[in-house]
Amino acid sequence: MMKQTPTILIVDDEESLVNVLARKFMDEGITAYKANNGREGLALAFEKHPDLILLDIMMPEMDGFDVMKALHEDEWGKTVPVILLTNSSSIETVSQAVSAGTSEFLIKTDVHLDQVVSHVRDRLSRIPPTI
Amino acid sequence: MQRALLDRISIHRPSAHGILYGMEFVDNITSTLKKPDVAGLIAFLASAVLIWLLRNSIASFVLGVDPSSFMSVEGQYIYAQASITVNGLLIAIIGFLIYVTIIRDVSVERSRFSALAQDINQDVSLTREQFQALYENSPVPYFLMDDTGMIRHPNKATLRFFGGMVDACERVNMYDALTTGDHLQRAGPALFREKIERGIPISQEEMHIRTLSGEYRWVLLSIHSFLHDTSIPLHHLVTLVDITQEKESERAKSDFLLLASHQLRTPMTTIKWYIDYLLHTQSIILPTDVRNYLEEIDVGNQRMIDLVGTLLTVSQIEMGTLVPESTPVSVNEVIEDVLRELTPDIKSRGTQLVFDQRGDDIIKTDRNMLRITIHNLLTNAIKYTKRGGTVGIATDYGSMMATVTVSDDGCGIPLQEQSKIFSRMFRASNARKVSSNGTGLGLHLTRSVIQKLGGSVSFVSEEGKGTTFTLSIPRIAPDA
Repeated sequence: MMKQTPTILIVDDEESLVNVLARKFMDEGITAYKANNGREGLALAFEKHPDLILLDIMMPEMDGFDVMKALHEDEWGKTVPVILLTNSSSIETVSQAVSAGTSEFLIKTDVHLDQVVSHVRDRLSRIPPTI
Repeated sequence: MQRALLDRISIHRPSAHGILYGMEFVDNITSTLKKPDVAGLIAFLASAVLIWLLRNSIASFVLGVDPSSFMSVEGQYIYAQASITVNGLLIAIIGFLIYVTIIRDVSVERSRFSALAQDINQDVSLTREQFQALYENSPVPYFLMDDTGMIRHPNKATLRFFGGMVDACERVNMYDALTTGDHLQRAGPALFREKIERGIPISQEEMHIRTLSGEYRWVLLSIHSFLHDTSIPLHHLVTLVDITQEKESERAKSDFLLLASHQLRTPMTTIKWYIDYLLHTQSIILPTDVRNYLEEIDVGNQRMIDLVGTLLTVSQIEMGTLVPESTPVSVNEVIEDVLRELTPDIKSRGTQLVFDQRGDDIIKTDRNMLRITIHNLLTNAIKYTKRGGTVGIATDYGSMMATVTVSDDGCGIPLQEQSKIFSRMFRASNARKVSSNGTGLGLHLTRSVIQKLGGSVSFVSEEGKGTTFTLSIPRIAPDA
């Protein structure tokens, strides 16, 4: 269920990208939590229960697929929509994404900031609002 | 009278001896000349002619009568009798000569054949020994596989491959040890088993095999089955060619490429998104010149992004790691998607677009790879057409092939440079004057990608008038 003010969690080991994304979403009226690695992201996800997670794939120690696997082991985690962020367009990455349980991913160099916002808004609009 | 005549016909003993001497003579000739057939044939032909020529003399000699008596009626009768006798003798002689000359001496032939058989046996023994040595000492793993999949008679290379002695290897079941090893989890081992059971030859199929230590190795697997020869108890000869090193090397190159592209793309993404933020956030007021500089940085950054993407795709194709994944694709939808992306360029250049869609546009191919080719052709068409010019896109769908034609009324390609247009890093001389942007990789990539999809690309062009590129794509991709 989505809250009144939607919240998202941005998980990416590239801090500069996390910062600009967070700033953009804040400007758009969407609260954005930030995490710079998989473990931090997972902890924040379980703490804040965001409406959506923007998740980078290639991160050290715990990559995006590991985070997704951990989320799927949780009752709430199974339901939260995840959009994967990647700079890899390899078939293997796509297949891994599908196997991990999501067909939604954005290739970072292929999208502008407002396209990222559009995708997120579109996905959020499909979540029923909190009563 | 008949009795009286018959009493007068008697075989003269000397004639019988003469015939025998004659036959011996022929036999001697045939055995000494060492070409009994030819000599024999000549001998009996000569004998036959001689006997025929001397038939009257022989008849009179045999019967003990004067040849002149053959002229009377009585003589004619006697002559007839004598002729029958002589002809009979002639036939007997010819038959005997045929026997001694054409029908070989069985004992001679038997000894000759047994000598030959001995030679053959010796050759076979020698060949078997050589084969055994080859089998045992070959650097390629060979072994036999029984119907349950168990390894039998592994050679030394097989023992090295699996990492065990004979008894350990002979406890390996190939049906358990095999996987395809790829992430798509295809039913390779099940299909492999089915092929074995049906006697379908397996030739150089890439498979993953688990060794005795639990390590997985890549091999090219070939199997020859002896299903129809029930005299051989073990029915399948298996050959493995270990390609683990090559696969690991490929994997390392592929991983390096992916890492390099990711590492290059990440800072480019940072530049892209920060420029996006600066240029498109209403609350940020930028002086005009700063805005212009940022836009220039954005353009340059986008070129770098495109270049890295192109280089990555070209490398993947050349390494063979770019594998098409075929799904039903709407060609018109792909074209529309590319046009949406290129809309800012189309608008800024005032390009007139004509899109002629027709027919059933669903084909089975790799959508991303198709998009790359169409994107490249459309980008070029828009880039090299003067402002306000026209770019036309037409599609056509036959039963086997789909075609996409992209035409422009731009600068065209000089005739003397047309043969090089698909070469890597090549840009036509007039193209460089129209736009300094360009990697020279676009058309090379287009051709490589379309060929991967089983298709082709061709063009017609006239300098100063324009170019038309035609993509031909199979409606069902070869890998589908």
